Amino acid sequence: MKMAILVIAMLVFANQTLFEQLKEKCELSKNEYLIVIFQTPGNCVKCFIEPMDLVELIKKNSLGINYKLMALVSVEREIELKVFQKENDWKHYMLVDDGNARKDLGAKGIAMMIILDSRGKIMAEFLPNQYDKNIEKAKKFVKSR
Amino acid sequence: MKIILITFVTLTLISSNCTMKTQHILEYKPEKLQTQNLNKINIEPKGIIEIEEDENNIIQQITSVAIIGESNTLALINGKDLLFYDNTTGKFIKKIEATFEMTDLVAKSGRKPYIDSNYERRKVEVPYISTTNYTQNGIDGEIAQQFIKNFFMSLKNINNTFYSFGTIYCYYIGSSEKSIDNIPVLFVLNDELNIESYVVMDLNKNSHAIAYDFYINNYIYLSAPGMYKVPAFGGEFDSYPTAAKYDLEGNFIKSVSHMTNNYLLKGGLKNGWVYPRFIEVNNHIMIVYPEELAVFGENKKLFDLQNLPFKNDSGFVYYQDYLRYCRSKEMRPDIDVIARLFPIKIIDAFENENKFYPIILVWDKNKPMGFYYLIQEYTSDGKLLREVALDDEPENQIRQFAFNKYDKELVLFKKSKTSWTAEKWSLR
Repeated sequence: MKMAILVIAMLVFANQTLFEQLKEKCELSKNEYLIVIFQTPGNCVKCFIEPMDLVELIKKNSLGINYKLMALVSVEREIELKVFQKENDWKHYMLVDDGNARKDLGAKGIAMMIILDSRGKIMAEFLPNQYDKNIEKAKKFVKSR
Repeated sequence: MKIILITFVTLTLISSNCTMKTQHILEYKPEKLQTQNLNKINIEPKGIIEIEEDENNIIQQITSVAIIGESNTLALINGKDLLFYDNTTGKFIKKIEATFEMTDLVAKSGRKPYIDSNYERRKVEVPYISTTNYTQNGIDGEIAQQFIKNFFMSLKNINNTFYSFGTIYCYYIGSSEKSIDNIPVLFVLNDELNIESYVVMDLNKNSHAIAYDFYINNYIYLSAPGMYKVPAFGGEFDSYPTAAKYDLEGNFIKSVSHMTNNYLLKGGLKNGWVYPRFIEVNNHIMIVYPEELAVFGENKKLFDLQNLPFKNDSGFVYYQDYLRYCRSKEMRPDIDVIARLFPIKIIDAFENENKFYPIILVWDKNKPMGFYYLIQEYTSDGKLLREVALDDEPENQIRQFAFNKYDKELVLFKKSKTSWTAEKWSLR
């Protein structure tokens, strides 16, 4: 019986979409947004600071907007998430990106950060090296809430 | 009306031409070449060791590795750390971290940011700023620690001494704006695996060294890309420098290698730096590039690699168009397409008994994993003697190669879901 429950649980988990996994991991509620940054340990400093600057901007201007922050990290082993955590003093949620995360969440292949609503719809998408455009997008997102 | 119609037709033609061109690239398949059956390099499995990991030393990626067989020590670079292990047991010995404080090695070395009149921040001679002078220069120490992430980049065993290059960041203030340079610093380790001495390299406007690879004999050879075209290959054509030679104090002597015509065709600097590797064979420096299927000496080509199952020629031609296509679609280049454009990639090389051994990744759809490794053996004057092919395993993949000269072992560093192992093969 126990075995059957385990198998069913595994099947359910296997069929869960990535967004459902993220939602479950950070207990995202109905009125919350999920900010996802895509990271690779050992990346250039800029690759971490660029999205984090945008998160800071949203945080500063988003009175009343509830969000959770998640890093999807391109590593091969769960244990390697600790390298990212230590390197960046990361205190938020994080999960392994198997290389398909952007695609699974419906983001562009080069996206560095996305904001999802509680149903998994992309509300804003940020691409690397588009500093001014990204700031505009972040402001637009805050203003529209 | 006519003008509108002509414009429309022209745009339609250009667009369909672009699509056709891209389609051709997306569907490109390299032609398989006839190869000869050569004598096989004898390699036999000798043993496997598991490399110890713990909470503080999780190996994510081995970017460079070296072994000193005589002292039974294995050294590897994992992120910013230099880690040392017992080469027989895989037990962790110690680590050296690339610390924030290393920035002061540059600041206090007397080296200065180079002058380049094309950049506002580089127009005047200014010093590098040490951490003790941050406040008086308006630099926030806490923010500086966020930006300055020094790391070790490459590592070699040369005559039983470990040498490792670090990339060390240092602030300077040029034209009132704060900037950071990345400066290669060579660390020399002693028998106790401590840093015994260091050399801060001299950068200049056409040789901004990045220590992707290096070699040291009477000189220091270092990957050192340049931003401006200069006469290359004995004045045959103008090209961007890729490698430079320095004296043992780190002073620049001259550029010794440049982008080949193929790399210029691939897009030159527009599509990134080209990093060479250095190997010394028979007291001569040999230089190889990832996609260029030849071996170079100082400012000249020495010989072509032979008996390869594919060529990279079409890749050099199509690469720019493919990147343009990816940019237009806001997508990352697809590894499958890149593998077909450049089916041959020289990933490493080593020397043994005055012979040169390139380690080549061959993308071949007919292989179970879609690729295999080919190791060839050449005399120092370019005669191909033997070769051997190595297959990889999906669940335990080869991530790095090393050659232990003392024990004549080819060592394959493999990563599985649970651990890193070093698989040793005797080479005869």
